[in-house]
Amino acid sequence: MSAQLKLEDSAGAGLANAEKGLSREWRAFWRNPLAVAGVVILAFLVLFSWAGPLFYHVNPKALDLAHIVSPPFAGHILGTDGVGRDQLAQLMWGGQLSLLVGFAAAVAGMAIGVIYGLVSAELGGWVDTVLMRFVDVTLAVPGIYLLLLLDSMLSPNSFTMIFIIAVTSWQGIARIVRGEVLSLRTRDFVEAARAEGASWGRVMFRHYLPNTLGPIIVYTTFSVGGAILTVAGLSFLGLGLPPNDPNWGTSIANAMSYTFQNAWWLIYPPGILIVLAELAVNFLGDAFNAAFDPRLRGSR
Amino acid sequence: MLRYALRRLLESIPTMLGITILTFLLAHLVPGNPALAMLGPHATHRAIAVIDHQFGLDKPLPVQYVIWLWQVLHGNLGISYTQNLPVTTLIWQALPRTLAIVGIGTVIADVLSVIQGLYQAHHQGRPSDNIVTLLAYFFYSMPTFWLGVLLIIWFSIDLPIFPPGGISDPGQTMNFVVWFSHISLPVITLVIVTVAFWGRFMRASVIESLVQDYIRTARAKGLHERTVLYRHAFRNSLLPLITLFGFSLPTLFAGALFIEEVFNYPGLGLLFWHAALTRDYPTVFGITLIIGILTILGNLTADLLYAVADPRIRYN
Repeated sequence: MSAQLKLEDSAGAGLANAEKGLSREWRAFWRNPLAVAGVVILAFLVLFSWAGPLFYHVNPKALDLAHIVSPPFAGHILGTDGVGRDQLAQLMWGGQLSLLVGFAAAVAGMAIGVIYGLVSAELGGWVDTVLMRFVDVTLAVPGIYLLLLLDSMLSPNSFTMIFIIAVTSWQGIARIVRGEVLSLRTRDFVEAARAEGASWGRVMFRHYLPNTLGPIIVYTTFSVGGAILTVAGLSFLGLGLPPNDPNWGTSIANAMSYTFQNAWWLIYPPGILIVLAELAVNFLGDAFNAAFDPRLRGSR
Repeated sequence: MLRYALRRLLESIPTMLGITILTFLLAHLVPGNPALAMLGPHATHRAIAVIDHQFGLDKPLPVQYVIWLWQVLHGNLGISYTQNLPVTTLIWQALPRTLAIVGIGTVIADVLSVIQGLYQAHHQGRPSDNIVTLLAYFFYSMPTFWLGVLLIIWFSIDLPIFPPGGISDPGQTMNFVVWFSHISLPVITLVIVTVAFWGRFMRASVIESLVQDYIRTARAKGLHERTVLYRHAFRNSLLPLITLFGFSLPTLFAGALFIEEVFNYPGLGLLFWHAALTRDYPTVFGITLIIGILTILGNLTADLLYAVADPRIRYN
């Protein structure tokens, strides 16, 4: 959500640079400490979730009935949950699902939004009006209500989850792409390309997409954070991913039953991992935004 | 001004109609039908056909939509499958509770994010500015529901200051103190996540207004820096707050849903969540409709407030 406001003011940014490639933006990006911090945190989370299980050979679904809600000890480094499952293994495997579903959902939403925005701007006229009205309508209902509604209609698994999040989170990018294309259409280099007889596809992929890449990258980065939160939130509400597959949201939901027993090893770690993922994504998004927006460049 | 307000109101009608169409179509995509829900799994085809006819479910879809819309306009959102009460009754019970959290939370969040913006703008670039920015990043990155759980652990289990949830404890008679203590933690949760989001914009807004010409004039007049900041910059940096409020309404309602779930606070969000879990579709669609309309009206109010607050904007 912070992305929308930020992007609306960066909407005109990054136009002139596309023909020269994005190297200047990348250099500005890497000079930003926020970017470095984001990449480091993200690398840690990816290693934790994917490389972790290679070193920590504990089945996340195995029930150790001798140790139920047990605080950390040598056998279970981060303790066990209410049915004796190893918390650390749960968090590692849960990380794979939480991060993958979040990333896939954001990319899928981005794809829908880019196509919708391009089509709306290209067709123009009353089609454009109707398409954008539809965006207004879907934005008026808070995403989570639409999500719960769709979720109650479809049976939950990773793919329906990605689908549900994608179809409820494409509107922002659609608006941005439409706005960018509308302003690009009248620019000299696009008119020149058209006058030279460039095909519709060439204008689309050679001129429109590269020039909207900056805002698309920034927005999609923030969307990954939103999607990870949504996956966690829906799982927390008991409506997201199947409760047997470990994921960070379900871990927090399960921990809720043990708040009165002070089971800190169940309550804090999954939340901290989500916070780290969100921090990484927000850092990266802000760093991309600063790199792609010429008005912000150099001000940090 | 009045003409502008009327025009904006008329312009929002297609969006509202759009919401009703979307809700209606989704309601028809749902597996199962009301007759089956009312009669149970052993209903005969004949009985289902009778009910279908009675409810007009055998008519073409557009006709059904018009009938449904007519009912909605008369305040009839159907009967809840699970609670056997009109959906409007349930909504009227829950809505004020949600509005209490969102309303009080918004006012406090407004004040705090203005203070944060002024403080950071005043200390721009200094360590204290960076610390506040980092804190805001941190709280902004926190899932609302996890923050709620932590607040329950800290302030109602470890330090029993507030009750952990509900709107009153069993056997308690309702009074202001009971009400206030029960909404405290939900409101605090909403305030923290909202300020983390708004504060950043307020900082940017104050900093932006500090480079305007009228600020240079005020400084050139020899006004004290404090007067410049708190009288001149302050007032003008309030404007984005209005837009931000209208823009954040869906987020606020979404946040309220998680908060109500964590604190077991029987507002619109909890009602919606229970309805979604039990596939109580009339309630689900009724609430979707109400929230959509509230959001549009909220945005409209924000636009009108903006017009009142900013004399530079002329509306014809």
